[in-house]
Amino acid sequence: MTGIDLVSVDQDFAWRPWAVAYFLVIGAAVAAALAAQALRVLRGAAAARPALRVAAVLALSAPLPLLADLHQPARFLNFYLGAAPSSVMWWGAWLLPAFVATTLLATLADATGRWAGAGRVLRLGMVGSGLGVLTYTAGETAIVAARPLWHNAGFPVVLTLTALASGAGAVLIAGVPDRAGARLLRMALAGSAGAGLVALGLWLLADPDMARLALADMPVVVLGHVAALGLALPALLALFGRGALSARFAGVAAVWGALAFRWALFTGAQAQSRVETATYTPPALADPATLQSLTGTAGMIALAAVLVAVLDLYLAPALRRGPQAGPRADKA
Amino acid sequence: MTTRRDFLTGAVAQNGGTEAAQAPSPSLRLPADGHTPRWAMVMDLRKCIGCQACTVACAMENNVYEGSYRTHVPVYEIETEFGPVPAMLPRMCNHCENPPCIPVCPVNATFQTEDGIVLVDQDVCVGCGYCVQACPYEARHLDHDSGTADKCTFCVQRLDAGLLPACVETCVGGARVFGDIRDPASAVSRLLAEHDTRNLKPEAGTRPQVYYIGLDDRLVSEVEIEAGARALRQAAGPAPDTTHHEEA
Amino acid sequence: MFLSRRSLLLGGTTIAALGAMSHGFARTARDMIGGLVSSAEARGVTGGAHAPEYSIDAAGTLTPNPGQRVAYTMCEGCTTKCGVRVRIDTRSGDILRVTGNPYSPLSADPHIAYDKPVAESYAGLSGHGEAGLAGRSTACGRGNAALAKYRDPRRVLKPLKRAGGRGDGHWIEIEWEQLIEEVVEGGDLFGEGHVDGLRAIRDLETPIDPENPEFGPKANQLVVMPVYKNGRLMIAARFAKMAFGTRNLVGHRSYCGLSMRAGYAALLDNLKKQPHLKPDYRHAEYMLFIGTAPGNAGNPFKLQGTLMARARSENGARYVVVDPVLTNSVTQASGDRGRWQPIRPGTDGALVMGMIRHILETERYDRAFLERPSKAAAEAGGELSHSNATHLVIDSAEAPEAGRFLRWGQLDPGADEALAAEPVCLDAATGTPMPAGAQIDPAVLFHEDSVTLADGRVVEVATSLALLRREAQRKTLDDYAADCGIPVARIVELAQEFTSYGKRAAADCHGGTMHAAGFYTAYGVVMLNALVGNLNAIGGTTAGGGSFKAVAPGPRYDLMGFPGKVKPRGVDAGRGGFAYEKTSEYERKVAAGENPYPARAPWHAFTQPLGAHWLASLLEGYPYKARALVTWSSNPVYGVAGLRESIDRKIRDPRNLPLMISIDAFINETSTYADYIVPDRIFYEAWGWTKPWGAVTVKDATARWPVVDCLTETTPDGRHIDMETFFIDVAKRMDLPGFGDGAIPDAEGQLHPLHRSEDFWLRAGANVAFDGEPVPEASDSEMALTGVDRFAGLMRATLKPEEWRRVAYVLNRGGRFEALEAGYADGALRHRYGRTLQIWNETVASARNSMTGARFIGCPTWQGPRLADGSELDAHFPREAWPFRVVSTKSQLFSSSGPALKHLRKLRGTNAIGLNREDAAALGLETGDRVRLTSPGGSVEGAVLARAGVAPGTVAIEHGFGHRELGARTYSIGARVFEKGLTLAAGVNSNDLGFQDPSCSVPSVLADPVVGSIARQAIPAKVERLPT
Repeated sequence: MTGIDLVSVDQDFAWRPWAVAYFLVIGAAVAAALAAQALRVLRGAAAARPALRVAAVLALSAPLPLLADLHQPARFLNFYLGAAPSSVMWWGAWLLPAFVATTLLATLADATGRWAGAGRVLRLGMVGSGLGVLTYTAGETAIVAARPLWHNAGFPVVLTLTALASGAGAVLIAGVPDRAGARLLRMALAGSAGAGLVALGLWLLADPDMARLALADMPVVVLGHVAALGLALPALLALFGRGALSARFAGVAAVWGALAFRWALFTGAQAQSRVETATYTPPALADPATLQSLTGTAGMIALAAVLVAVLDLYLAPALRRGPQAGPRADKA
Repeated sequence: MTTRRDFLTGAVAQNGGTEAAQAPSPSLRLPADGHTPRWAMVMDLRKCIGCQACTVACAMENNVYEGSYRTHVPVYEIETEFGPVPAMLPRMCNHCENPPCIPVCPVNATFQTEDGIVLVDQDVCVGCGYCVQACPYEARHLDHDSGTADKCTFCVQRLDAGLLPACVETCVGGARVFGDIRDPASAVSRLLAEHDTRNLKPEAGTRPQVYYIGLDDRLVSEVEIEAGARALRQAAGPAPDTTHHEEA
Repeated sequence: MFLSRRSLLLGGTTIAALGAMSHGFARTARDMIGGLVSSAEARGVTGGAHAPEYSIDAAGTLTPNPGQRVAYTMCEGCTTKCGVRVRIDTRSGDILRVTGNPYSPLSADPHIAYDKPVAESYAGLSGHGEAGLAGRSTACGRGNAALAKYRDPRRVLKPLKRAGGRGDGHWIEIEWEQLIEEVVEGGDLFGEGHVDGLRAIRDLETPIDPENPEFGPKANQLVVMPVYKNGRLMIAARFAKMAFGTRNLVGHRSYCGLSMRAGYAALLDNLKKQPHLKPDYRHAEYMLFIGTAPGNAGNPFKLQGTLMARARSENGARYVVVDPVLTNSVTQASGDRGRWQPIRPGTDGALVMGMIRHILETERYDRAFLERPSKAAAEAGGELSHSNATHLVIDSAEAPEAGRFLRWGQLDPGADEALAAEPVCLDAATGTPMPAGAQIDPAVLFHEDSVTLADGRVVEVATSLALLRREAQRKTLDDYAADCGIPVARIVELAQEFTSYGKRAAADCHGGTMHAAGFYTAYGVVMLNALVGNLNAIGGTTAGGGSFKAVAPGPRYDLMGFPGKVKPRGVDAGRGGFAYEKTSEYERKVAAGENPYPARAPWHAFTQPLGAHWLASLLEGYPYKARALVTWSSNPVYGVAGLRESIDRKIRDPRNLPLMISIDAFINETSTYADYIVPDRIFYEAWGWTKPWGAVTVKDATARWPVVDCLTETTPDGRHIDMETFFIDVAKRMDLPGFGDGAIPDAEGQLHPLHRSEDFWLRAGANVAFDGEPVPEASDSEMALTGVDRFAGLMRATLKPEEWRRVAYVLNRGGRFEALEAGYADGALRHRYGRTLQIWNETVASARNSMTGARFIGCPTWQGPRLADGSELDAHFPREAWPFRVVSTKSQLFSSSGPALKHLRKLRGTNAIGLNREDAAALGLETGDRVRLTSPGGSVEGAVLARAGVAPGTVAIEHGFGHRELGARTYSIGARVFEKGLTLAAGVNSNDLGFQDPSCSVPSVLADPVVGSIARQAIPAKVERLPT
């Protein structure tokens, strides 16, 4: 023990709760898009439709929470006025709109049944840009050497796996009528959540320093919460549960696990002082900023769901020639 | 680290409010002999008395929001062979030779001038906070009022007027010595030659340009501390924000 | 069908979603709109930074920034009175920045030549040629932040009158004429019955108390408590003592650092003016600081910081700071150069007497210095000062002259008057008695014997040094070690270290000695300097370089004398500077055959007036009651340990104190009780001339002038309301001498008016400008640079043609300062203190304790903290019941005289109850735990900070916190309500733990038994955990 601080200052959190919301939504959106494409290949367009709709809703919901985390949102065009290739966030600034656009257009193509050729290109674009987004979101934090909790191999892996689990979960929540499709999704959820659990365990326990660091800045209850409720439970439910209800419950648990993991790692890393072995007070759950970010994002998702539903129920038939088909869209 | 933004040294400083008479060449940042300086700071800790003059002078000179700091002086009470002793550690941006905060900026708002000063163009910065995350020295923060990244600028507006940074001008013990490390005759060069100096967190690989004389090993990286002033603050709970309340 | 169930669902969801989004993203929307429409100026790379005040090119030419100006004046963030440069925005009149004045020896080392043009003084601070590094002139953290006082929303700018009970915090604003009329004429001012105005109180003939005529006239019942000598005191003294005629005006010394000042005064043989010494920091090779922490506390705080930083890192000096609490006076980076020596609070005297015993017994003292009995002998021996170590003292306890020096006349009745008064010493070679003044050769150092006087009586005599040795030998080194908690080996080591550097070793003490054994502790600490003979020596100690004549019978104006000047007489309200044996109370008791001791409360024969005791004694009526109290920029209720508790109820009752007026820029713990509050200037708006503390080795008259416009209201005839205007208008209305027309005589005997502050202070400036070699005249361009040109008209009107530009020259430089080189001459300090150092002080030795009748000992001794009746403090408050002793440490960041300052209050919003780590653990306490700290006089609650840097058995409290006013409570002025700022009440004030001396029948706070300095250190206390 070197001593005590007689004069010391605390550093504010640069990334606020909106960043957590954005990372959750965009992760799930990409996972849902990948699921949609996989189901389309394996089970056909109809089976993939719910996944594509969820992907559309979440993709539409992602930009606003991201914008909310900028302190100067009016200047977001600055991302596009110059090239900053050394900045992962700069790549993200291009990948995100690419993914959102391709996903929405692919959804439009699917809903209206037109532009078959373009639809295929759009879907490939969606998958490509989606994988790009997964890479940039994981990379953006992992390259920050000054944040040991992010700057390691474990964190990006668990981040990605929890994204995949939450994406699959979101689709299961929305409901997948095609039984084989649902079973495939449940396997995907179980696989990613299980792998996430193993990765989390390996990441934290293998390296004693990392364990000490994590436990110093993240309460054990949060980590336990993430592991048990967020990863183990959905995996087990997905494997052994029967019926839509257990699938939906597994989905909710997976989404909750992804959210809890991101909250723990964002507040934990930023609470950890880089100049002293000290912890800055993280924003409390009841903080106005925290509540605002959650309510705002939930509202955005609901609005996106309504828009996609309107697309399916009213807009698509007007544009389409073929018979009207499409599930009832529901609030994620 | 050359800057992608080709700013002439000396011409870039455009200060808010009334324009100061532009220093005719040769100036501090464009010396007569034509060499480009590389500004650095030597902190002679043997001379620091922890009076926080630099902390306040910097905040006053640059209108920093109260509660944020471009520089401040933590004081630790540490054990030595002569018993407990206060250790003052003036912290500031190290204007690194390899600054990790510049590559991460997605909008090219932050850059390093030819003479080594790491700056932020607060009219371009979108306030994404990525550079704040990337700095291993916690030398950056997001300004409460403008929402843009804020940091020590070596008082570049004063350098352009031929003056010294505000913290150096008012350092009671004479601990802060600022100068051109490329000029062998400068005070910083002479101090670096005469004393063994150390930098903070060399393991971060940023090649910081603030050199400390008399820095205890235990202060080089994260200082291991137990309950002290911070614990008192946290025990007392968040003090109501009186800054606005007062000016009302 | 449009309103199908599904569209209802979609519509409902949309509305809910928009509601949630508006809540969640409200801030984002605001930021977005703000970003798009904001007209905010471009921030560029410098953010909100101020434009530089000027620019300087490589050739050194200055290009001023038209929107700003830089002026040199004086800071009053604490009592060090540093010379500062203030940067002002000429458009808004705001103060942008404050840092050091390069001309001022208090702020720059070395300070620049006085005749350097102001433009060049700015250029000398530039980065070109790194001039500004060596030439930097600094201000401390507080000095940088204190400008916030100028526009503090709580400043009193209009005269106030209480609109409710005293201390209730309700005020109304009143006009200037109403204030002056009510204060002078009195009347039923508050509906509480008639109140005598100042006119009625000024009765210079009728004694206050016919039975005690020595108390003096009724005029003494006006009591004026000003601030310390901050450069404006002399107007208050002119009004109160010279015009009104009360004897009761004194600064805050008795509750600030009187023990130190009295200790030095006893050594320096000037108990009236109380000079003090400071080390020659630039050249000393070893320094011992006891109860003072250079660079953290003690005055001049900042200059000490600068000089000690250089001493420990460049000059190779070593020093030890003896203090129950570790402060920033030492630093890890300078290794073992500066060592902290923990000690049990209130026991420095034991350490010092232990060192003195070892030094005397091992003869490590400076024999060549001590054996020189006179100034002539010293010069013959090449010494720079001399002492009375060899003078013989009458040691027979029963002899009437016990404790006084043997006089030559007592041996040789035939000697002429001068020779007869000479003390006696014994020639070292022959042992024959000699009058000290005539003795050139060394005299005997140690001698105890009996001698037959000319009148036949046989008396014991002993040399001063022998008596000092006797006192030191009263206890063994083991006893001393046990008392102070420092091992014998360390005491011996300190004594040997201190005496291993010849005259280049210095010892100093300050406010840390303010406890109930303060005087002898301080006298002991400063005695160490005499034992190594370092007064006036390079690397030794200096009494300072003095100052230029300002408020004095000066070369241009006599600002002390004036027609009709009154000579105050009578007894100080605090019973200071008046022997109990000369009181009528004493004579009545002796006449009645009673034992005159104890007095009802302590009297102190040879110290200054004791302002700290005024409020308690005046409210009690012993020696007498007050009929009017005027406080100016002072805060005894916050500053005197134990006072608030003992007077709060009594002072609220106007019957005890009919009229109370406070002159202050803020409402503090004392002025909250006032009937009237008169606004005052803060230090950047005020005039004044000050002399610095001892560490400045050259002549220094720091000037204070309004570098910014004064914000206080103006009187009908356009003068800003301030302390001076108040006293002037009251004096004029009462037709007092020395004010109004024909008040100030000039050197030719012409009389000049005194109608406003400037009339007095500009003329004091003329004295400074003409003292010795007159300074040159200031050019218009230089006056424009500094802003002195704003007063050109006023100066031309007030001063003589040949004077005003010279005064401007001095104001342009923030004062008048001798060059650094002038401080040293032919291997010694040039400004030398000449009086005989008193190893034994006969004034002290012939005075008696008014409670016990016992004579005081005339040299340092170790008795431990005692009550007034001489009983041991530790006996009354044993360690079992009171295991801790509370010590207040001076704060680098806070000052007790003002509200919390911007930028500093976030670094330390509150203070803690500092405990030694082991003590805390023993009580099961950790940092952050809430505890109650209880003393015999009160209790405070706060959070624990467990530290290694606190000596065992000590509670450390940083001073300046725990305010009940200055914004810490809600109060109203008319309709405006000032809500309290919670952080401003944060922390604890150790003075709330002070208590009344149980051995005094009349309530009197615990003080040093010898000189009456308040015991605000080493307060007995206990610590209890508060239930969470």
